[in-house]
Amino acid sequence: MIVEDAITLLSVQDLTASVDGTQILKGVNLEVKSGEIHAIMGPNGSGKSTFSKILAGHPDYTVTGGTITFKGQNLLDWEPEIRAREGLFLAFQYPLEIPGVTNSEFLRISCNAVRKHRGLPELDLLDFGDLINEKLKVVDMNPSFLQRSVNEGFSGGEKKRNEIVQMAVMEPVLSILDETDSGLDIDALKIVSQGVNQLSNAHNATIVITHYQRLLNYIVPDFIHVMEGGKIILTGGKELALELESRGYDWLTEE
Amino acid sequence: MTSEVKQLLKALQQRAEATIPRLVFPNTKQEEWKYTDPSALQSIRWQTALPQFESTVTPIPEAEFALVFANGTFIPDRSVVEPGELLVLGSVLTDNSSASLLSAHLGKYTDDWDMLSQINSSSCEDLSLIYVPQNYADGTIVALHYLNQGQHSASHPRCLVVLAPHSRLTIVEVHQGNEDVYWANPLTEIYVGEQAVLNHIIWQHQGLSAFHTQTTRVVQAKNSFYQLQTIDVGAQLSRHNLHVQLQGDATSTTLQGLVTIGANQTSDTYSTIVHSHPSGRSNQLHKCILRDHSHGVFSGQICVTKQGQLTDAQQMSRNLLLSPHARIDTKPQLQIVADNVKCAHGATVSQLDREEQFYLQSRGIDPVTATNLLTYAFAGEILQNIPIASVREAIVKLIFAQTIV
Repeated sequence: MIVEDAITLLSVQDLTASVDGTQILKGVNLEVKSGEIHAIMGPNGSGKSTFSKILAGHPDYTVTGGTITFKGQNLLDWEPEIRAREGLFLAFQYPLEIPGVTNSEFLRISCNAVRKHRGLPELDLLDFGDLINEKLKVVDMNPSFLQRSVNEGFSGGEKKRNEIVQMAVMEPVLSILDETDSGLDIDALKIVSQGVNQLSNAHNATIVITHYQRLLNYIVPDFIHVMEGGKIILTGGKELALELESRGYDWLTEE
Repeated sequence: MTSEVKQLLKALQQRAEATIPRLVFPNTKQEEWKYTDPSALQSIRWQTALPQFESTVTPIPEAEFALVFANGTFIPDRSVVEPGELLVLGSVLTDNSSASLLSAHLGKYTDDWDMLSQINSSSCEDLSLIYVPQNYADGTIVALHYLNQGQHSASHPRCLVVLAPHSRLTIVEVHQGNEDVYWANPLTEIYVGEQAVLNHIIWQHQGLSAFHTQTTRVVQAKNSFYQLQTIDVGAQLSRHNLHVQLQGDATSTTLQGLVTIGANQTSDTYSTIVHSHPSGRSNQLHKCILRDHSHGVFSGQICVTKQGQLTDAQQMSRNLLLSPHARIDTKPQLQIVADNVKCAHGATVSQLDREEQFYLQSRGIDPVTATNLLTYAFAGEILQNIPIASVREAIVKLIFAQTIV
């Protein structure tokens, strides 16, 4: 939703970045205010996922130019864990499996790292148990998942739901969902979308990265950006998604 | 009557003394010592260790029996031994009833051609003995605490464990000591009778200047079950010679080793399982976590003789290198003569996964905690099987405390 007196959470200006010496981003500009939902669409290889990984601080990518300001501060000064504690969350396209670490242990360590950074008291096992049981409801997840190793043996849908549980626990101000719809059947897509909608409010913002229009039926964006060749080449309202769905991406580059 | 015990010990010593001159001290020219250089052991003039100790015993509240040894000598007033059906002796010299057990088992399962075993035998003036009578299956836990210290002192503690048919026992050995350059050369002989179950834990937590050479010889009778967990943390050089020999059909053997070392430590596990009877099952998993300039070695032989039909033997060596200077030599080996068996083995060497680390960091977890969490996860598979909670928790704590920079 577009709200009055919204504050700018993210401001990206002329961002260029490379991986292994290959330039991937070639001047990205984006501004996200509190309350807003943005969608970034575009063909494969356009730089969408790279952009999300750079925001989260993946060590394989090098920022070669431009600025990223997050809540008025230079995001690039921060290590990935600081970005996370400051309220930037990335839901992974391919969440990793970590055998041997239980989901509950992982979530509690993560939760307390964030709380400590924000000056909140850390939660003991009991208090965390209460909290996590509430958060599981966001995506209708069975508590038995807490005792399993992180994402190990989870189906594609369960992994994506687990990402949203992590998001709910960490209470970010800016969430980036990288191809969260990939590998989801329609029921899982609805559950995940409802979870995301439930967590969004006037004080936070969401960037949804997707290839398809389908997800945007459930998470309705205020803005849609089309990325192509490492740049945002077009910005519009939610109606742009339908046009992209019917016409594809080619007409944009041909014009 | 104790003279009978003394005579048995004397015979063991004499046999060893007669053999030793025919043996060569371990060196890297020998296949079984190819990756670990034990020459430092030979360069020190070792002295017989005195029964002194400063270290405190790691408490294991679950253990009904606790035998404490200072540099190999039994310390009765520090030990807890309850009289009862179970025979637990810190010193066989104090009990006449041990003679028949010693004459049936002592020195019967060792390798005459192994120098370290023979050195142990030649200095064996006493030993500890645990005998579990038939059908005794109370879930009893016996702890053996070996405390070591003394510059250039050497000790050669020996223990004999005999489980009569249908009995059950858990033994935990804890080897620890101070920062002196000492040498511990323990030898444990184990006989697991028919349908008996033995859980065995060896926690090697010696001082970082110590030499630790340990021999474990296991013989399993028909339908018996033997499970071993070794946790190697200490010593500048540690070597475990582990040998499991089957004496009957349908035995089950589980061997799990966890090595977690750093600095310039070396830890070498040399194990052999001989499947010489049908339908035996064995499962071995050896994991090394290597930091700094440490060096891990694993040689694991699984031999299946012609008689070992329907053997099911699995062996896996997994290694995690946390430093570019750490080194692993791993050699899983199968020697199979029988034609109807199910055997598999393998080895992996890996580093921490960058993507996993980034995933944890993106969830607000700092890199050191992330590394420790992933390292702990690697060890977890073995740790979670340690059947004594206090030991398991102490080792988990220890692994978490090994902060990785």
